[in-house]
Amino acid sequence: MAASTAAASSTTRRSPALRSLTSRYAILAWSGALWLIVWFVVPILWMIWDLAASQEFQDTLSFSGSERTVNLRAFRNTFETAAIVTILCLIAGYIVAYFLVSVGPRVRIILMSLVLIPYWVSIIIRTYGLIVTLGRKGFVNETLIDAGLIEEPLRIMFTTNAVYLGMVQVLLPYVVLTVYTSLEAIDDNLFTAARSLGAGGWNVFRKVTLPLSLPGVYAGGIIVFIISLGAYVTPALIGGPGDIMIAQIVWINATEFGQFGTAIVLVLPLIVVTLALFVVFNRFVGVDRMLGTGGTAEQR
Amino acid sequence: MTARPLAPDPRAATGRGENVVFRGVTKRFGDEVVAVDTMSLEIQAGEFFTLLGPSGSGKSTLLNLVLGALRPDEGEILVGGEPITSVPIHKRNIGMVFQNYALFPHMTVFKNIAFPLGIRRMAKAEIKQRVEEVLDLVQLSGFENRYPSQVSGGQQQRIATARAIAAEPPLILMDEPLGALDVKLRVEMQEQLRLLHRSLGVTVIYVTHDQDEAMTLSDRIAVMRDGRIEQVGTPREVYEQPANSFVASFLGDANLIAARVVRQSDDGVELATRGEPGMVLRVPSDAGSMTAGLDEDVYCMVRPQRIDLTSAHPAGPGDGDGMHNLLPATVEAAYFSGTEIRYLITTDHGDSLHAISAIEEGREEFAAGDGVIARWPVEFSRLLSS
Repeated sequence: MAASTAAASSTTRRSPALRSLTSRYAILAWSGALWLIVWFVVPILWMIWDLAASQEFQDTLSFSGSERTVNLRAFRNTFETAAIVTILCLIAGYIVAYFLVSVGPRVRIILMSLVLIPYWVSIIIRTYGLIVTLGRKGFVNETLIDAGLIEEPLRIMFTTNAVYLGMVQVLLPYVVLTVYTSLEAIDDNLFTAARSLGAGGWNVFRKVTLPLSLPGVYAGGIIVFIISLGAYVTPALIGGPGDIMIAQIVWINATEFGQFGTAIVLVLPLIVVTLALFVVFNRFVGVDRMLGTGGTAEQR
Repeated sequence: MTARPLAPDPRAATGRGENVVFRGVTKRFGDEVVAVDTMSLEIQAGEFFTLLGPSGSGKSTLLNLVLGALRPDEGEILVGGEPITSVPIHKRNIGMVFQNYALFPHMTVFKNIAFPLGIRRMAKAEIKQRVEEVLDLVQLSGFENRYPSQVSGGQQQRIATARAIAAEPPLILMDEPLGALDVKLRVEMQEQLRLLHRSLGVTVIYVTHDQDEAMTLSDRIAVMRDGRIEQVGTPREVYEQPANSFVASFLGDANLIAARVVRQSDDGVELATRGEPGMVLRVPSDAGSMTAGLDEDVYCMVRPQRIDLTSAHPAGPGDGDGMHNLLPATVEAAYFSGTEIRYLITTDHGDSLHAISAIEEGREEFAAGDGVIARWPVEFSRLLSS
């Protein structure tokens, strides 16, 4: 405590950002950053440098390659899927998080485990779990047929909807956790105050709960959107033939066709969009909030 | 922050407050904790009423029962004659000022104060006018566009008060609203609250554990302990005629001298102190809420300010004029505090007492080790149950 105060006072004339980069604890951040620079930033820059002159790099960049339509479709599909999955995750995750903060501590621990345990299970295992549950001879279809509600099994797997379902199932915990942290950080007195001032349940939610939990909503939304942009496993395993995401095309180009030039060009838009989202988010909410400090925009 | 006289609220009509009645109200937490124990009490319309007690005495619980944040297990609370325990909190129209103010951090000062008005679907122009009015009342005009985090603690307190009174509730609850402020500001705010209460004419139920604050602000005080009311009365009554030793020591300094009743007459009660030598103390007959039987163990209570110290004189103790109680004692310590000297003395029979004497020309001053006579008028002695 004393050390940080001393460090802060010796650098008071510098901007807060600069100060945080030069404080004595910044070495912790820098060590992480160094790791990313060496193993992520440098290889990508090196690949661009190395492949920029290649034919396929030029072709893909100028959209004159033979896979032009396929690539464009994959991009549109990727962003559309990411957007829909994000919205679905936010709605479902908010409801779960809201429920979590409103139950007693004992029930909360149980429910929290139900959210977290799948989160720690491999995404592939979970996706196969969905096939077992929702496939033609899966649990859901068998039950519905036995109950006489349907005659033919529903086609749920290997459709676009299956991709949404699978991705929401995988990504939901991110929203639950960020929104839960935001909701949990709101002072209970604010709800009592709002009610004492005449607000019923809906008004309390609309005017107090929702605005104060927005940092968690933004954080969860951005995390889910960014991860969805790079989704690969779920669409490949349970999507239909039309559900090709850009990550799959990148993978095919790099490993099966050996066209690293094409792969790197297709990756670039994703990286740019991801970084842009981070910048915008940091501008309006602050990345530190994304990491669970939660709380409220104007509080002290 | 200069204190200028408060502009009278143009809408404030005196007698706008409503009375509050508690009928056998009980609130338990779990199986063992009885936070409020069969409480019956009537608070007058327009009264500034304070619930005073140590933490855990049930005062905040009582406030939350009126607010509606809690429901009583037994009994009924009536506001303006109407039972309210089954009315949901947002339909009670009771103003509340929280200890941590509970201002909405994402709203400007204007929006905070406009909150109850917007909920009531008041017209925009009317809302603007009313917010200006109450901001003027708490002397914060011009702060409309600030956020709560951008103003000081004292200003946050006043914004919270403005928000609580904006919708003109007939009853305002305050839970240690000045507890987070420093002493100087607190005294200033006490004055403001008193004036505000007078100009609004509403009923105020105020919770505090600060006895000075309670006495300064209140029309009446209820001293609470363990979920029960020990005494209700004006600040003067509870201070000068405490019902028991708890009330006596909670409100200001009190010397409690353990004694035994030896004689009762129309003139008063005669007590003998415990310990050797047993000294005789007199207490006026009307000076106690209790009637003590012969030989009963009691306390003789006297405030430190009432005790006068004089040099020990050879005539010996106990031969007073009948108008004073006298106890020979030795000064243990003397603390100088600018305007007065606070003495800690030990009587010859073994009680430790405090005496406070103002610093004046010609008044004798003592040092540790001096033999003295502690002397006070009989009329300032109180008989309390032990």
